Amino acid sequence: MVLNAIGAILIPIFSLPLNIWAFRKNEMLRNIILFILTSLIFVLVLGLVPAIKAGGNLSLHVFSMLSVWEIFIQVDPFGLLFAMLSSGLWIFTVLYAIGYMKGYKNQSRFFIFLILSLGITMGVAFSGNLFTLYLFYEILTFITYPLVVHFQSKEALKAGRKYLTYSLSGAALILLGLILTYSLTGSLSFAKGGLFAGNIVLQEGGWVIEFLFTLFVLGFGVKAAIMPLHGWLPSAMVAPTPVSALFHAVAVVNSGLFGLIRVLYGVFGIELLKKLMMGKVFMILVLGTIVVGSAIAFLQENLKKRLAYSTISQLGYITLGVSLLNPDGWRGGIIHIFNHALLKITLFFCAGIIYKMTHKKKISEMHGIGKKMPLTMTAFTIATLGMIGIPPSNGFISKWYLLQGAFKAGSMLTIFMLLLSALLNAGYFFPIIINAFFKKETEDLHIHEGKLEAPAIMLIPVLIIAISTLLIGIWPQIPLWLVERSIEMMGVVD
Amino acid sequence: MNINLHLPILLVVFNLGTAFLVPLLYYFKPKNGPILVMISSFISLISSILILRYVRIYGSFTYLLGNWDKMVGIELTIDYLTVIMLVLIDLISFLIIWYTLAEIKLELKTPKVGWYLTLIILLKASLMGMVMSNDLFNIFVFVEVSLISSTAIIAIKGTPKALKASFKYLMLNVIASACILLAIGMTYMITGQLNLDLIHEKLMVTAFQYQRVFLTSLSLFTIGFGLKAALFPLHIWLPDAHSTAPTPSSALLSGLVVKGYIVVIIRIFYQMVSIELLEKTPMLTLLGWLSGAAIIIGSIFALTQIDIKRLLAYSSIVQVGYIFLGISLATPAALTGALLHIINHAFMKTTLFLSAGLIIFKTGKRSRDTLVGIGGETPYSMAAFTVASLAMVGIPPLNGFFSKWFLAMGSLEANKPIFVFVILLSSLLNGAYYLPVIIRAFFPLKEVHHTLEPERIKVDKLLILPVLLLALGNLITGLGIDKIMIYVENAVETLL
Repeated sequence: MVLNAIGAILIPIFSLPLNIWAFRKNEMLRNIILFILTSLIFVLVLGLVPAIKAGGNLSLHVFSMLSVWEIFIQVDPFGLLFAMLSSGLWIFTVLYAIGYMKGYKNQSRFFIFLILSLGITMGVAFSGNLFTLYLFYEILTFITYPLVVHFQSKEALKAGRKYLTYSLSGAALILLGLILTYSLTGSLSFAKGGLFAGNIVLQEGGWVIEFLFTLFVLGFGVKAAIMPLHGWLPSAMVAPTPVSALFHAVAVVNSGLFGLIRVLYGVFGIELLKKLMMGKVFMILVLGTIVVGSAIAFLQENLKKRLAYSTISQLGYITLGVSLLNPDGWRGGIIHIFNHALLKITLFFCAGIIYKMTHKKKISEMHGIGKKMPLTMTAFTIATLGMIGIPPSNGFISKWYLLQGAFKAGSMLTIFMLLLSALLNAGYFFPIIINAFFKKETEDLHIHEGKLEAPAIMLIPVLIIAISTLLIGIWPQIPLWLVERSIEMMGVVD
Repeated sequence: MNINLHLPILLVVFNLGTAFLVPLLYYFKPKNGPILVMISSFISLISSILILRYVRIYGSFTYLLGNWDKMVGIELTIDYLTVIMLVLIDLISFLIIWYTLAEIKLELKTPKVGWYLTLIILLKASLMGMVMSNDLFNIFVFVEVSLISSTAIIAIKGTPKALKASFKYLMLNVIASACILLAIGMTYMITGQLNLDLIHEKLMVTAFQYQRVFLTSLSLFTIGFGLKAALFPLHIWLPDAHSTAPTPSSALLSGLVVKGYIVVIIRIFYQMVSIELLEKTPMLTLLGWLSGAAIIIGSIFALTQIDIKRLLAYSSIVQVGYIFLGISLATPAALTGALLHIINHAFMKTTLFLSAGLIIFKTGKRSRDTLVGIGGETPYSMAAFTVASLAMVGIPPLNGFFSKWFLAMGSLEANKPIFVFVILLSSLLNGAYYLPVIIRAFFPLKEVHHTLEPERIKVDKLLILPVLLLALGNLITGLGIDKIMIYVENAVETLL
């Protein structure tokens, strides 16, 4: 069964020669291959569900170098959740991108790297030790770089440089963390209850552990866009919209969060985390991220930029849940990875459709657009409800658990911040919707006769995902089941 | 009589012999020249692999030339360090010679091609001799041979720029040789020996009696070999020399020649002086700071370079800094890192120089700003360049990651965590000067079309193969680190 995971990592990578040949040859052939590949990966990942249900140990030592650096693939509920989420959304992204990229240059390069990054993301999801995680995390930066700079404009290259600088600096911090971890414990593996838990001296905490914690938080925090480290994310908005959607919802920021959570429970262990001084600092940082992110989102005129800052604030929810260090907090944080991905990808897809069809980027120019694009804007509205946390949308579930976690932790500040941020969310999302549906159309929109909806290949993915957010809000059992199993595995208890 | 024991010296003699036969060959049968040179370097490669195998099975040995006593005669030591270097030298130079044979026809006139090959093979022979000799005098002889041949391969084009660079190289290296000779004299004065092991025995006593002489000779050795190996701040000759020389020369000088001197310095430090004595002197601490400075300042210099070959040359200074850092920390992990980096840097820098050379060869452009959008025209050489650059930055599983890891571990072992930061910072700086080249090449702001000379494109197919093999070597030396570590571990064990 673990071969499914290996396949999910390797098939996108080893199909490279086929892709290079086929993508240049024929557009139709390319689209078929893209769809088959992504669906195949999704099916492979889904095939792992029964095995996880049976509770077997799904791991494989692929390759070991000096028994220090080991490429170790392991499937666990948490990884599976991430893999299912990404590989599923990847199918929709690819479909959407086929529609969106029509007419742009260098399409084959774009899709080649899009497929490669799917394999690497699967690698992040299934890495069973620190080295493998670092390996895939580092490669992900380079593999996604061509997607960011795709348009090769001055702005895109600048954003790409920023992205590389931030990510590589973060990776260097993680590497430093790896070196220190290895020299302290002689191992780079994740352990149940934390790698440091086995070590009596380290279990006491102390400045070395505080330092290590800071290193890992900062290192993964770059991709997870924790507030002072978020600079690359808004500028990476110059990328084609499918890429932005992928960055925000699926691959990049989530791999940062995913890595962080992995390290927190696999290396430090919950017990040790509760003793750390830096944990409190981290929490304050995260609260700041939530509120400041929302506040900056308020000021953005550009729709994609507003969404970017909204992402930063929403990612704060996830890290906040984690930093609460109780089961409900973790439940809320991890389920929000899932929920936020669905919601944010819908929002970005809608923004992309609006741009593609009308070339509008600014929110103020979008008055009355709901009348021309009723389906798109309906999807947008549904996703917005989730962002604010209104039932029956799935966003409500995450917020519910987060609030419970905050109550249990007895942190009034957190509760206040959560409510404040929900208010802010409503404040910057509702005007868009109200203006879109109820304001009079702007003149250039009015010229168009009839509806302005996007082609089906772009519209259908959006609608499916938007509806699924509602369905998951009503029947959250499947993701929640995986979340429960993850929490169990991570050993988070009150 | 066991032929294996004679193989090392035969290897040197064989290469010396080939070196002097090549011009004759090119004079009488210029057509058969390339293939015969290839065969001879292949034979050389096979024999060094045989020596490697022999040492792996029967352990290291020493060989007395002509069975003279080691007091008066020449002794060769064939230990793990030697065989690593022998195979490295042979493997890299085999690929460089392959590249040279395809390229140099268009760079130099026909009679000069034969001379050039003579010089390259001579240089290779001298490096082999240098890493296997066990006495100071013999080392000095080979150092001089390598000095002469490297000066000549820098000057071979005969342009004013090349002559100037080679003159600078010659002058500074003659000073270095003088320092080394002086140091040898002083060591002889206080020990009466030239054999490294015999000196070691005597030094344990006399170093304390003649402290000043001992310290002076040690410093002179460090300055002499440090200058030859381009240890900061004695590196000033390197950027000119390595960037103006023809591409194969640059690759050879950066990838191998510098390493030969470093191996000699390792022998002098760890075998002749030994770590116990060395730790009583401030030499290692000083060397540590110098290499730290080399790493940071070299990177900053590299950042400002426009010419791509100069950029690579400055990067060599940084990498030499890494190796000296490992030597100066003097812990098992650090020394392992240093030896690994000798191997890895040979692969990385040769790949970089050859692929950059190939791009320059095809387009005639060498400034960082004009090499925009070059990835479309020269995809394979640019891909090789990318692989080696990522190895330089230290992306696993490419080889650079592993040597840096060991160096970092060594700094922690030696309780000098500051060097971990230095290593990581320089990795980032590595990225800062290598990645823009790649980004410009593959993601240009505007579409640029470069005109390539049709004559040169024809040669290209022959040229690209060694470059791609070298690039692959970066991956293999990374993934196959287990195999390499068998030898490196043993080498470190004998040194410490």
